[in-house]
Amino acid sequence: MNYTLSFMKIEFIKSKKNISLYIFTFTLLFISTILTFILHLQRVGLSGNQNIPLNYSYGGYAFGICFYLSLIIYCIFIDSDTREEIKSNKINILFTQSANRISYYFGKILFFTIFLFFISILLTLICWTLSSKLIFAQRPPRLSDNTAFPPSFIFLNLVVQLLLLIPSILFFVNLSFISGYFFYSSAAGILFNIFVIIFSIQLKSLILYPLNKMSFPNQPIFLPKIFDNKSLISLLILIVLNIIFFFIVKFFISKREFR
Amino acid sequence: MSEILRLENISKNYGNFKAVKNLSFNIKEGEIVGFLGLNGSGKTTTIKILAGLLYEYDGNIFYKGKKEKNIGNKIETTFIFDSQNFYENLSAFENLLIVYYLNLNKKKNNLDSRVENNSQTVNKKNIKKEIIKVLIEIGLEDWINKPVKFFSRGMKQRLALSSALLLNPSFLILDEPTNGLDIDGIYFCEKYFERLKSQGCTILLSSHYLEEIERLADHIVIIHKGEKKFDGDKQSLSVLKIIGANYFFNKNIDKNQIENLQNFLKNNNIGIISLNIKENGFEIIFDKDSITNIEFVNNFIKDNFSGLLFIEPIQKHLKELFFDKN
Repeated sequence: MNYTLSFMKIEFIKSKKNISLYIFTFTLLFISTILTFILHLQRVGLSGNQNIPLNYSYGGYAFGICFYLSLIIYCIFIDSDTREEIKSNKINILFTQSANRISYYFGKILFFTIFLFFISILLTLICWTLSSKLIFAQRPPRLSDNTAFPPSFIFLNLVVQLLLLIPSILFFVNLSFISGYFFYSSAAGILFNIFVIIFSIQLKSLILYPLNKMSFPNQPIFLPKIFDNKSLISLLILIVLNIIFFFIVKFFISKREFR
Repeated sequence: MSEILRLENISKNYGNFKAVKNLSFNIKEGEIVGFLGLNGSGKTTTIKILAGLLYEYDGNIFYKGKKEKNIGNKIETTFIFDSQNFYENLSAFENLLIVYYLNLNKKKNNLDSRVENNSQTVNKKNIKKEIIKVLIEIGLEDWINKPVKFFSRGMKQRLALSSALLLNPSFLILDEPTNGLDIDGIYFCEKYFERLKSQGCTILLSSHYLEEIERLADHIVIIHKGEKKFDGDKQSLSVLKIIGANYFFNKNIDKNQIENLQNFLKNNNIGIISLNIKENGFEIIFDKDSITNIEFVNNFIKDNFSGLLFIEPIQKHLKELFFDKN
């Protein structure tokens, strides 16, 4: 555990001086702001004062799009950062000290999972704050019985779904680490990451299931439950997948040779 | 001195290419072992096997009498590679901080042992002080907070060596540390290794500079094309070996006589590397396996060549022989 923390600190030291990471992050936050406005102006979803209960989805749409973008950008970043450490022989320093390779894996994936989670919080704040200020002001969304939609529900829903996103984030971080560590070619790594993320978008209800609940449906339906059986199953599947990744990495990480 | 490391029949293949073949040698505590060989001779491969960067190999490694797969993560060992790269965007201080974080337990032990009355604990202030002290000691006091990308090769090498100062290892393994350094840098490194040795540190120093190894090492291992060619102290490397002879005559040599000599060598399976005809004589360089037949050849020449004035043996130092053949 000590060395996992050490590797997390190392990633933090590296990130502080990594200009491209700042650029990616600020670009993402900028895109999320612009996108929310654009979706608002294009009237994606319907406004809350119409007689349709749950139509304030564009905060969620904007978040969803930016979240995919952030996944693509940061997964490629993790992939290339890991590969660069190997190709430039920095791995010689990292792997010949007291710390071991598993700590390196844990340190890296935990740091980037926390980092991506933090980015997700920022994106959510931007998208939802903007959408609520633009459209909810004076005309809160209403339920089918015309009662105002409780803001506490929106807030609680966002918090719970963000927390549930952590296993999904870990899933992508794991995959990008694996591609960076085990794929020799950068092009293969980038293609692999893009493929996985696009494929996951298609399987949104399984791998990125919390996003479904963050961008509420735009047709009048029942109030979505924050946590239901489907969510539980998806959560369980993701946790199992992450554990499988861990065992795969644990088995192979020491076997990789660095000439 | 007790044995710290023993390699037994280490072999490593890259596909069909045999990088290291049945390499065995011992390292005793407190000595500097020079690990000598030309580029591509298998030095770095051997060190990477020791470091655990190469995982699959044949043979055994014994560290302090105990069989180990590698010694890369041993608390008391430190590896410094020629190809070691630092994080270019980070400063010298931050790069050493990374080294510190990777050796947390080692540093804690070292600091704890130095701290009097246990009043001081390992904290950020201590770490900072320690790193800055090491950087000053190594001559990088003006570069502490500057990014490594602005460093010259020599400065980078000093930074790599400073990690050994920071960690205070009892076993230091260096892969071609003076590669590409100027005279000043080489002098600095040599003084530095001597200092570590005086503190009781065991050093395995890989290099392709014979002079450097001769100056520093107590024990020399020479490797060529993956095979061990020599294992002993540096004195034995200076022993003169006869490799051939010059034959001087009072007249020019007849072609027929030379043909006779060639037939004699051929018929008796005496291998030679060269037979050079000179004015009033010739020179024969024997191959390694035939040098024992030199007396036999001398007798033949005495009996069959007229006008022989004298025979002068050709000698070379053992070390020259290794590098001539390499």
